[in-house]
Amino acid sequence: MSCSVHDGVELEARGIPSVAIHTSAFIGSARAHAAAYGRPDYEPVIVRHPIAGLTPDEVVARADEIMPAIVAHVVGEGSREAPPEQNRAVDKVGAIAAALKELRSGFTADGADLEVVSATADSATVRLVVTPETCMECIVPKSALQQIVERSVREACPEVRNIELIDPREAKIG
Amino acid sequence: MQTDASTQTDGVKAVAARRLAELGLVDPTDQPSGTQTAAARLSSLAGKRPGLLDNRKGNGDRLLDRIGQLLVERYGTLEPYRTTKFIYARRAGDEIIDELAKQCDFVVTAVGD
Repeated sequence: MSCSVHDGVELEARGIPSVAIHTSAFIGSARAHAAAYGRPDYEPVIVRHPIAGLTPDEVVARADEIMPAIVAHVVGEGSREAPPEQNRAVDKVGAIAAALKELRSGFTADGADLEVVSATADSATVRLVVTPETCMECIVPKSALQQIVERSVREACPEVRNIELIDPREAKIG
Repeated sequence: MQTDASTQTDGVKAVAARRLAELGLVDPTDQPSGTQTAAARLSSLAGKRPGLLDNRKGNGDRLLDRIGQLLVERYGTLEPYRTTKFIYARRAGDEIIDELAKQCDFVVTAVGD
């Protein structure tokens, strides 16, 4: 399934910025393929698993969720490419996503992920992504997760003071 | 306790290699072969030609439809160049990659699912 990564790496080598979209369930495989093809730094855009089997409206919602990440992967830092009202948000989402990159590798190993939902100059919303394949017992409780996420984000973006963590486990418990 | 993740991984790999040898099995995975270069990022998407590469996985076409629509409407790109590969488990191949590199300023591939 990760030949999308192979195609992306080949296009990048030809000077074409390329985004490979992968679902959260297969992200470990995608990263392994990227490394095997000589681009351990090549990071796919992660979309919530699954895609096949969704209704057309659900697919549209998934695409809308990942558009900021797609744009952030293609344009350089400081680009003025997005519509003016979205420029700062897109830049900030990319910066926070970069800050969480190292942390995410630990979560994807357990079939989970962290995604940046939105961001402003001083606040961010981060969502814990879980799938049916996630090892739920392996994920730290929300209170600890909140602290870990805050520490990682603030190290890179100290101006981000308010960090909301969306934890889907709360809905199941409540 | 602080553990060194890379040392731990190396240890696991060594044990796995020893077990494979004991069982007379061959590790089918390949090692990284060389390095590839990253493309320079774009300064703007406006007026650029996107490429959309569909690998024929379920709903990948719908996902790319919406992405293409948003690229045009919100980010001012040109109409996307759309192409499809027929076997998702294989690389797209020179013909498709050549055409994407010729036609497009950036490419989105979907979907690893």
